[in-house]
Amino acid sequence: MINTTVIIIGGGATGSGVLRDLSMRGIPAIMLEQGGLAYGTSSRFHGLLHSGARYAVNDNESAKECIEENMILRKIGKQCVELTEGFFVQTKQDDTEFIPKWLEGCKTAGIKTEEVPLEEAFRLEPNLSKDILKVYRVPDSCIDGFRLVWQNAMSARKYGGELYTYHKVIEIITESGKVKGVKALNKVTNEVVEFGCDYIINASGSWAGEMVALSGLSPLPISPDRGTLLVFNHRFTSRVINRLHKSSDGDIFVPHGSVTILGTTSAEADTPDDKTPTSQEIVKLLDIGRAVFPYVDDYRILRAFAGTRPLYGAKGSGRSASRNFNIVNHTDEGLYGFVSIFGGKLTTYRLMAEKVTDVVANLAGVSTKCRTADEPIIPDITEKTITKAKKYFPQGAVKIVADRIGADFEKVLDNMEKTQEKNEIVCECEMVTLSEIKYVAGDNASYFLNDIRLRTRLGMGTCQGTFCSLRAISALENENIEMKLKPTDNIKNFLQERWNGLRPALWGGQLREAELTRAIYLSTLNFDGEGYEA
Amino acid sequence: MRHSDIIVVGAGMAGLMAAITAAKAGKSVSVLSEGAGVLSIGSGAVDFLGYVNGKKIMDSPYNHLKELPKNHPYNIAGENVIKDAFKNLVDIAGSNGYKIKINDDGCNQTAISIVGTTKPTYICSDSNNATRILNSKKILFAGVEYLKDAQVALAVKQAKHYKVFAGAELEYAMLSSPFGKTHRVLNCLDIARYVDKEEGFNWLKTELLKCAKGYDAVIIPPICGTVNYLQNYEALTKEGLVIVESLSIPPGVGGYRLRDALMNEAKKHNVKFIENCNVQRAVVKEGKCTGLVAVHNNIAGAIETEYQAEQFIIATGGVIGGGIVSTPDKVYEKIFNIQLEAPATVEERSDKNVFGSHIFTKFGVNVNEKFQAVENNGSPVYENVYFAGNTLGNYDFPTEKSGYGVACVTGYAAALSAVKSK
Repeated sequence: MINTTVIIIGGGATGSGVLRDLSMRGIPAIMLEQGGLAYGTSSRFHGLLHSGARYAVNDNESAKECIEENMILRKIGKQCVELTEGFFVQTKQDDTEFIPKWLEGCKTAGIKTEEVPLEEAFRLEPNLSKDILKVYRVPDSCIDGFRLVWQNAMSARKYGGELYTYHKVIEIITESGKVKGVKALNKVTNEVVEFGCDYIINASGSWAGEMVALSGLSPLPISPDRGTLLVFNHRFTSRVINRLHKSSDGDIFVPHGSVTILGTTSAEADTPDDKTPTSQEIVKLLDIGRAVFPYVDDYRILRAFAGTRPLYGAKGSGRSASRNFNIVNHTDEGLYGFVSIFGGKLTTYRLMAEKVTDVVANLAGVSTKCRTADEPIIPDITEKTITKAKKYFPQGAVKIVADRIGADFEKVLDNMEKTQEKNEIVCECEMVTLSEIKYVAGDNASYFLNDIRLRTRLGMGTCQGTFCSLRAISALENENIEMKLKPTDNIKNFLQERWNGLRPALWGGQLREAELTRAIYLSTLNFDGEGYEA
Repeated sequence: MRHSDIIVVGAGMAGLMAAITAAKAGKSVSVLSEGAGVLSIGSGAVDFLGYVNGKKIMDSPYNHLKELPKNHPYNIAGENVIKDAFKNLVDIAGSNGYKIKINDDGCNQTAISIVGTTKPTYICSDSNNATRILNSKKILFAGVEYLKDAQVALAVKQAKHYKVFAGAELEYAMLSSPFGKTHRVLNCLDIARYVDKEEGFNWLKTELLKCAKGYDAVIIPPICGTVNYLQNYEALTKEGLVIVESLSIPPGVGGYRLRDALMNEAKKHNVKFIENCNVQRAVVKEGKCTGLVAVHNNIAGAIETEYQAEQFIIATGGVIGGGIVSTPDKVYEKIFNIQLEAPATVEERSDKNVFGSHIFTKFGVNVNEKFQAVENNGSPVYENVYFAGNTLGNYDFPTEKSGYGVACVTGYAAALSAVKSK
């Protein structure tokens, strides 16, 4: 039995934000996540740091929260944020009457807008359709969801917070109307682990309803809503591009590193695990996206992915359901110490964490103030460190790697200096080096190559793991780093995960790539015939 | 406008076999190719048939042809043509400095991959054939420093799983890099090219002699050279070294050697090569193809040129080579726009298991015994157009292990048909 004060269920943005907030306030806490960190929706969205302009008309309160949090995250989480700015563009299909309402809403919420002359807009974004009628600039940005979650978790650890990945909560232990702890299934070892606690924060997103049901309380009206997104093999826009109309499918393009994401659809999902995109959704996204980028079909689709949003309200309410967040203190229903938080957006994760931490801190009689709006998630690295890093990393990769590794960057550098090790680039698409992989693999939250992928972006570039997964596994083997699966199974597992996202978009150039992967792994390396040879 | 007796589109295994076969029969042949093709980056091992329905073949692959579907390219070509094609390939490569062999017993040989897996193949060079070292007691896997694709610790761990190595002691070592530390990624082809030079050969010999002592065999990446491979390999053998070159992921070097040998043979027979030539469409008159229109991209922009001939052999490489094009709602052959059968939804085209049996891999043109594309009623679409290699449907080279085997046989067979035609 492992004892703590607060158990947080869910290792997404909200959960890791809560873990950090509690830990900074000196309240002992453990976060349990059923998969790797950011297994759920925090890794399955478009990566937009909302300016709030999207919600200006429909949900002005959300819009206000977004712009405030947007400004805070730019300061405290700059390693996760790329300051791109955003455009709202009106196509021929978009109603002109929407514009004054939208401008008014932005003004009310405190979101700065500025009309951009078309000539300038086309100069800045040459791939935009020349049929676009109006362009406005807003303070949208891009954010790396995986990294945000990780850096929050790492910061929390420094303050004493703990996290257990691949631990799925299967039972909530109560005694005379009070929370006592949880039982969790370790999905890697299949062992059941018991945790004792005084409070539970249910931050499990789309699974929040399921967790409430587990506690024996009457279920919450939370329904998962599936959103599908596409990743293209090009960064064909430098800015976030939104359609200037009422929120709808396929109306946003977000650039990320070397790729561009197009999202999102909205469809009722059967379960929170419903993460399989369909080819019809992809074709639909392309059809809509063409109004903004007419050559959208010429870019290779790297993969498609889907995530579920936890929508609060009647089932099937889709886009009209609130995107606001909710906190339910189940003490009111007779279960002392159980608090759920759900809904909201990644952009407002910090605020959500603050509010729910306030509730639990209050129950626990802790009056320490929240500091997450002021204290950077990871400290800035010094010029001296950057200079030192240039000895070990390719020049262009230093900042990228420093941002990815975060607070431990100096530790990694010190280690490299001590051992004088070679530092090869393993993943060329995303500039991931051996030392970075070794560092992440050594973390006790890393079980699978997929966990390393999420933290380093290994295999997320144009080859989609065809070349680098083999190298990464080989490199780990050479360094005697034990992974939970045997090498060939690890590679299969990794390629299988990538495959799930490739299948529904398997045509054109991407199908050629898939066949090349088969030529390498089956024809040359005989991975499928392996059993016969053994 | 240019004119030849026969135009071959594609310079991979199928295209080169077709071009050589037709040219040897006295035809004037032009090869139109977009790039070097996948042959040049492959391992160079020519697979005939390793597995049928997922079961490994232990005897002669010829005994298993009847287990393949009737419309499988091997069954369309027939046993005699297959035998002739493979014999031709071995002879051509051998007379151009690349000695490759079929096992004396007619069964598959065993090759070892760069990650320590083993695989059955039919025709390969002496250096790739690992059958001869399977009874060795002490085997060394040697990598090269900074050569990322050859991770020998992994290879040893993997090889230890296999029965064929059960009685052997497996160890690994690193050859020191001839280039020191480089920030550029080093691959097998870089090193093989270096070994083509005297300095490079001496480096390899010295390094191998240093670490091979006490071992019955040494397994190395395919780095014994490209154009000077044979003389290097023989010289190392003379030093008493028993060397096996593993099959590598791209660039696989062996494919480069094989392509080089085939290109040499083609040039001996005056085959013309027109590269950077992206064939867009066919000119068809009265059911016959009279020419192909290709785009050449150069600094002046895209230039269209028409190439005319009596007969055309299309070896554009299927899905992987770009000869078969797929969109969300259809699948078609690129040059003649032949619509191919495909499941209604994209999801149905592939299996859930990444290494499963996928329908998309079997996309391709249906042909008759002359390798002409056929309509549903069985009559040829064009009398003077033949298809070869992966542009053909109904086979799955990665799971069957028939890569380059089908290409070699059908390139040869399509050329025989084209030559015979009036």
